[in-house]
Formats: sequence, C-alpha cells, structure tokens
Amino acid sequence: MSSSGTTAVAHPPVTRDLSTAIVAFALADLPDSVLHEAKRSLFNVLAVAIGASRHPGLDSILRVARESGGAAVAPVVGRTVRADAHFAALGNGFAAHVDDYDDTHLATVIHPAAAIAATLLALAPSTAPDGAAAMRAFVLGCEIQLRLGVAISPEHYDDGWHITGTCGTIGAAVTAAALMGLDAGATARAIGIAASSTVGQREAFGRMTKAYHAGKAAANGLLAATLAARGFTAPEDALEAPGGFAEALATTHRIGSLDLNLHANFELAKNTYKPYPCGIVAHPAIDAAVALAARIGNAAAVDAVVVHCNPLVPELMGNLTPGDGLQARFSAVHGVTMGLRDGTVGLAQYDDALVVAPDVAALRARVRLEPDEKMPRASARVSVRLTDGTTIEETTTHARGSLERPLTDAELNAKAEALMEPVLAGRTGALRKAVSELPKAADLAALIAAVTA
Amino acid sequence: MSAAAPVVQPTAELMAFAGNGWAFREPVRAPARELVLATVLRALAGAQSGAAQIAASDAPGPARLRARAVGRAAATTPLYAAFLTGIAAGDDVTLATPVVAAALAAGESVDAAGATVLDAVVAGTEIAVRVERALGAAHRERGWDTRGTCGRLGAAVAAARVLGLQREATRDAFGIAATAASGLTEARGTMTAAYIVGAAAADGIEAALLARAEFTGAPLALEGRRGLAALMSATFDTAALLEGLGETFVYPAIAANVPSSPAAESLRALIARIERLPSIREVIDATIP
Repeated sequence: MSSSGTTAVAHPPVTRDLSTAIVAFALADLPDSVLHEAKRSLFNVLAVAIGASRHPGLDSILRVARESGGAAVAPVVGRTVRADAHFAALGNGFAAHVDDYDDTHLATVIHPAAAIAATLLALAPSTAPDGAAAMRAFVLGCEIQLRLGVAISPEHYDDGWHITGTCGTIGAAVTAAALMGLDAGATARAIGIAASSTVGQREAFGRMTKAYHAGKAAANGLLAATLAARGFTAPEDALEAPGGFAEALATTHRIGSLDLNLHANFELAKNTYKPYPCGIVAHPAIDAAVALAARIGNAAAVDAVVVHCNPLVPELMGNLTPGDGLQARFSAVHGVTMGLRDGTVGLAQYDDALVVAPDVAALRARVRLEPDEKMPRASARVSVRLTDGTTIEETTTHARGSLERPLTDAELNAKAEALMEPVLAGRTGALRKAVSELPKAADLAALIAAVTA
Repeated sequence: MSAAAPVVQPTAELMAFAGNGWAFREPVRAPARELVLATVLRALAGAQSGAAQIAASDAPGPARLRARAVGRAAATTPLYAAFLTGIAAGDDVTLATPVVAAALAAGESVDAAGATVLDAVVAGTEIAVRVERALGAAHRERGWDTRGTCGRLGAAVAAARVLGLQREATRDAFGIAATAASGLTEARGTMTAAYIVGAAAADGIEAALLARAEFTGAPLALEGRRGLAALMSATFDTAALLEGLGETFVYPAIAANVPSSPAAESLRALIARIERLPSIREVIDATIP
C-alpha cells in the first residue's frame, strides 16, 4: 500500500504494533547468522570510530562538552576523557561516520550502526545493561531503522534527505528505549518524540555536518526515550499518522505495510562493510588494482592504466585531480592509483599530504576511466601497460564488501587492525573478543575498556 | 559586455545581516522587547507544567558555562536552560519563543548585557520570520512545525550573536541548525509540541557553540539543492526572504496574553529597560521564586 501527502489513507496502527513487537523481541529470536552479522556490524563500527577518534570535528564536540556538558560519565572512543550522555552520543556517532568507512545497508544506503553504537556507549553508564541486553538493544535499533528506511526508499533519499540521520533518530530512540526497559506505550511515545527531532539534509554533505547527523540522531533518540520514560506525552502513531514521519519525509511511502515480524526477514543480515574508505562504486576497480600490485612490484613500471567501469564511476567519482583526502574519497583514479602503488587502500592512502605528493599525482595522471554501459556496477576490469611493453589485466566480478562477496571475518579483522592499531595499539584482539562474547557478558566493562584510551 | 543579473545568495545575505554586530535602534527594538516579555511570562506561568517538571528532572548540573531556565533557581547548562524555558513556555507560542529562550540562556552563560540579548532577539526573530514567509504555506502543509524549523534557525542566529561569532562562524551555526530542523505539527496536543520549542532553542545554542569550536556546516544550507527549503517546502520566495533586509523589519510583536499580576508587572517594568541592564541575569533573577 502506498500513500501520498495529499491522499488520506487509513493505516494500521504501525507505531503501536511495532512497539509491541520491539518489547516482545528476545535475542533468542535472532537466527545465529543474523547475530553473527550484528557482531560484525558492532565490531566494524567501533573500529572505524576509533580510527577517526583524532578528527578535529571530535575535538570541537569535546570542547563544547567540556564547557557546556553535564557530568562526564560516558565513554568516548579512542579517548581518555569522558563526556555526558548527550555529548558522548554526539561525539561517538560523529566519529563512527566521519570517515565514511562504516557499514552500509545497500538497498537504503543507511549506515545503521553509527548512531546505534553511539547510543549504546552513551547510555552504558546510566542503564548498566548486561551484554545480552546491550546486544538486543543494538540489534533492535539497527533493524527498526532499516525497516523504516525500506518503507520510505528510494523516495526519501532521492528527495534529498540523509537517511542515516532521519531513520537513525528513530533507531536510536528504539535502542535507548530498549536499554531503559520501556514498555510498549512508552516505546511508542519515544518514537513519537523522535519523529519530531529527525536530523539530516544532504546539503550538509562535504562538511562536518554529514557525520553530525549520526551523532545528533543518537543524542536526540536518547533524549526522546529519557523523556518518554518519565511520562512525557507524544503522538503514539507518529510513524503512520497523516503529517507523521513517513508522510512528512517522503513523497510516497509504504509505511502501512512495514514488516512487523521480528522473527524473520532481518535487514541487518544484509549489512555490508567497506574495505576502502571511499565511494563504493570505485571498489571493484580498486580490488583489481590491489590484485595487480603484487604482479607489478614497483609502481614506477606502470606506463598507462585503463579502468573499464560502469558509467556511475566517472559520474560519482570522476575527480581526476583531488586536492586533499576528502576530495580523494570521490576520485576513482586516486583509489586505483593507490591500489597499484601500495597494494592496500586504507586511511593512510587518503592522507592529505600524500594525495598531492608529486609521485602520486604523476601516477594518477596515467590512469584513465573508460566507462562501459555493459559493465555491471559490482564489476570492473583494469588493464596496466608496463614500461617494458607488456600489458597485464585483472577483472573483478563482485567487489569485496558486496553482498555477493562479503568481507570475510579475517578481512574485517585486518580492516579493524589497520584502523585501531595506530590509535589504541594492541586493542584489536580485545575488541574482537569483547564483541564476540558480548551476549554472555555480565556488563560492558570489557567492551568499553577496549574502545577507550 | 552585458550586465549579468545579480546572483542571489540567500544564506550569505542573511548572514551578512545577522553576523555584523550592529546595535539596532528604535523602533526596531520595540517588538523584541515585547517578545522577551511574552516568553518570560509564559515560561514563568508554565514552569511547573507537567512537561516542564518531567524535563527538569533530568537537568544536568552546571558546567563551566552555566545558565538558569526562567522560573528555576537551579543552574544547569545553557543548552538545558534554553530547553526548559522553551518547554515551560508551552505549545501555544510562536517561532519567536525558541529565539528568545536561546538568547536568554546563551546570554546568561556569558553574562551578556541586556542590549546584546535584545539585539540577538531582533536578528534571530527577523530571520526566522523571513524564512517562514519564504517557505510559505506549503511548508506548514507538509506538516512542519515552524517553531522547530524557522525557529531553530532564529535560535542559532540569536545564540551566535550573543556569543559574538563572526560571519563565517555564524554561517556554520546556521548550517548546523538547518540540518537539524524538525518538528511535526502532528504532535499538537501532546507535550511533544512544547518539546519542539525547547529542542529548537537548545539546538540553536548547540549549533553556535559548535561553530565557535570550529565545527563546520553547509554554506548554502537554506537554498542549496538538497537544503532546507528544497526539502521542506514546495516553494521558496527569495524576495519575501531578502527584500528590505536590515532596512524594513517584518517581525511582529506578540502580546504575552497572561493575566496581570504583581510579578508580571515588575517583569514588564524591568524588561521595558532591558537595553540598559548591564547583565541579562537580572531578568532571570526576577523570575526565580
């Protein structure tokens, strides 16, 4: 069933029934494979957040927290300082998303885990959940925002909203409500307050505000649940009501047929993790470049490179002369260049100084994009002519990190190590263990110890 | 060479108006004085409302920056003070309320003079009202509560002025507030309608504090292709937004509409000379039982 802002359609009581399903959900209802994916999501997002924990935007947030925050009790990733729950939510959510290296639910382009992990860390001191309760709250927050996202996709994102912030606010309210043990009525009211505090316009991309969306979603969701817990009143039909969440935020939607069965069809099972910190359409070509690096040896032997790719690659990532790391994230030729040169593409390959280094610029100038309508989005072919006249070639059918070729646990671990070790040396194993054993943990002490300095 | 049509840059023009630190003169200040009085009286009347009581029970202790909500003795953070004042003022208020609530709390946190707060209310409300006019009826018809959208922008402008932000930082604050614009009229009749007012006020201060700490926001937050206007209304009348900006003031005075009382009369007398008060604290002091 679909509706528009101008047609009044009687919807089933979606918010109420969803809240009932949320309260009834038990972690045991989750298939093992989905629980495994939830753990991978949490591990990935915390490692990514730690990797970004020296970002100047987090410095800004923590400066404001120091001058204007309440009692500093909640952990901040990669740091020794703590912050109040509000600024911890803001800062952790920001760090988790700012490198655009977190998880992606491809059908909705929601990055679900950033706001949810931030809510979890912010509320850990005050709600003191055991590990199973924490994992349950994490799963619920991710899953509900993804299902909401499905109900308003693709219109909502196409209209210009940053779906990670909007659906994230509701998801964060759900996670907070779960951690606080709210009943169905209070959960519905938390959703009702959250629906009046959604965040995120895509105009904010390219500035710190993009990642602010994830942090602010967490902070707003947390506040919504806090107020609802104390009896603050709110619409209890905010998702489906005329003028409610779905209608205000999407030209057309399918909120009335939101899937309320929390025993099956988990969207979280389709979460994916980026192997490279740049736009996802360039990943197939970078895969091929990384594979070729081993056969080339020295990048000085590269004479000319042709990247046969889907036309979306030049369209979305066509910057040929990036001037800094942020611009390089939208430069497919830069990603391919670094893959060929270094045989690995991580945060180091997007260092501002490296992006403009003469040898990198020279190699980048030898890489040409050749769009091909017949090349699928998940595929690419990279041809390298060497200075000795020979040509070598590598084809990617399904990119690493795609649904067809998910990152293996070993690859995810390698990604986490590369992100975490420069910041919190020796902690990757501790984080992996804490996440893996979370459902049986008595508290979050091990998890928090693993992510803070 | 033919003369090109002047490029209209709404956000930049608004920021040139908001961020230049002019002191406003009479009669431009007169409606703002009424708005401050109306907000203070309404918040005082609602300080013990159910919504205000619930919200106050989670108020954080004061930080280095401290402020009090109207009618509450306990100091808290400026964000939370603005939040509580906005919630206490209640549902039946205009988009000027988050602007005043933000100006008062930000003002107390830096011990601003009464004139500074008053002029912040002028600038913030003028921008909020002009944005509301530019977005037109289509904005409200989509379900948006203008206190949470336009009012949030005005609150950020007011807080930025009180904190003395330069034009660039004011633009960042405006961009941060714009992307957090929210609030559904569907919430009318519940406490969430008052929450929208309080959250807009608090977010205005948060945006200004973040911008002061070098956090960045979108430069074309209002008129950009994926900006507030494009997403939240079918229409965007730049003439209504910019015509006469800084020369013709369009923001209206709103009477408080609360019963007369000795306390109300003494606040009226105090706020009548707000621009001569060395510290805005005097106004908040007068609301504490």
